[in-house]
Amino acid sequence: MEPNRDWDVPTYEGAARGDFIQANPLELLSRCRVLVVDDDELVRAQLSALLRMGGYDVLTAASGEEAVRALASRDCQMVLTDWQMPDMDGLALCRRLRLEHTESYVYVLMLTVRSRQADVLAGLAAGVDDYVVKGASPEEILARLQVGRRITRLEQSLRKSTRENRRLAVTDSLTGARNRRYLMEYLGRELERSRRYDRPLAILACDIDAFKEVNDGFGHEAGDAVLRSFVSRATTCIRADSDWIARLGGDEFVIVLPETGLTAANRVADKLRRILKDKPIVAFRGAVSSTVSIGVTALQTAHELATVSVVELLRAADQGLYASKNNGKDQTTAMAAVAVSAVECGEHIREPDELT
Amino acid sequence: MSSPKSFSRRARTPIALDDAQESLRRKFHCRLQSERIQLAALATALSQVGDEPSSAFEELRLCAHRMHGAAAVFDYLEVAAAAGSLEQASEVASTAHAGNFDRPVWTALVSLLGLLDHVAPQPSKSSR
Repeated sequence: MEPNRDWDVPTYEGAARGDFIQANPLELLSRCRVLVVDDDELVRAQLSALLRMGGYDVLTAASGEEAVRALASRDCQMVLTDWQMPDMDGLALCRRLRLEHTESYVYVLMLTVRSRQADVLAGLAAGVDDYVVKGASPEEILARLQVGRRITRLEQSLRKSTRENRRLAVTDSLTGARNRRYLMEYLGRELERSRRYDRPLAILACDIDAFKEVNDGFGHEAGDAVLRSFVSRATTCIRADSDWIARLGGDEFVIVLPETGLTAANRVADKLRRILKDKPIVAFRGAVSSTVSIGVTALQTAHELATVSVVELLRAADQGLYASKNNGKDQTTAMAAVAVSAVECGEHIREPDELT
Repeated sequence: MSSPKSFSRRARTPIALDDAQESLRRKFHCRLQSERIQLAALATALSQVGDEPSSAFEELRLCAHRMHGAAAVFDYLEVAAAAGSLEQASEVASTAHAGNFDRPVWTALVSLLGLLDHVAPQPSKSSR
């Protein structure tokens, strides 16, 4: 086991944490919902009847303002809107929609009596996707909505792929834990949040004991099973909504515990060691008993939060882990995180580029 | 008197109207009756207005616009075209500060009222 490493911070332009919520696979198969916006009640009713006949879910609004409220409360893939309406007209509605509705694309079809080229150009400039003059046949309206349906489906599919790619980019494929890239990006954010709200932050550096022997003795499949099992068991020891686990590589993991002081972090570490040790992991060639060595560190005071960097925090946990290994493994060692600038003269602190 | 069918340039569409749409179409047909009365009242008002007919033109334009859009959706294409002409003429007259007997406006108005005279009050159920 190599206790220290270079904690370089990659320049990852990653997704927000919320982006990891998986899209419902049925979402793409669900019916398409269209918001019909027209100030004429009979026209709204007639268009709604036509669209329902075409297999769409239909919502209606009598004005632009009403449409904005409807879009804020219900998911709609398409809007079929009139131009001229009281309070907010179709163009203003479209501009506002393009400005505010950014989570998913809403396809806008304008259906109006205004037929001059200047009107069509103004509509398209406002963000309208398609423009149909009233008097077009029902078949044409349905056909044009079908185009919108194709486009919104493509957009949903693309968005889902992008979400999945972002998730994969920061996920360890073997264990499902976050990867090193995520750790270096988001640990900094956790530290910033702790500083801002003056809340403690703890991390655990974990290393599976004798992992090489597991691989050599039971095979790599067993080694993989141990790693997966470690993550799955560790997940039961932490809070699902705030704590997270990252795999650095090999058999090394970091567990990040926001809003957690040293005492509570030690309890998590002990629970984790116990839960791994008590129940052997069933692998292809038999049951594998595993233990884990852990280094714990926490930033608890305002001074610590203000002065200690991400690198120093990781280094302290790593030194605790190193001490646990040297003292016989399967144990937890707490180590205070100290800012380099606060260390007394004469004590040698290795710089990040010295850490291998 | 004509049924709604006779006002449609599109003789028959491949999409058959369901009961709900047919019922809406009949409602619109009835609405044209009241809109004809409203339009006639606006015409009277316009003829009697003094030096500043802009607001009368604007009311006429709004009424014509509403009829233009709805008639197009309900496939009363002749009514839609006539209402569109009145809408446009009213807008031009209002912008140009025309007098209350502006010729294009009255031509369009008379033409539209003439068309609406032929809309039957109780249309028979029919498909387009």
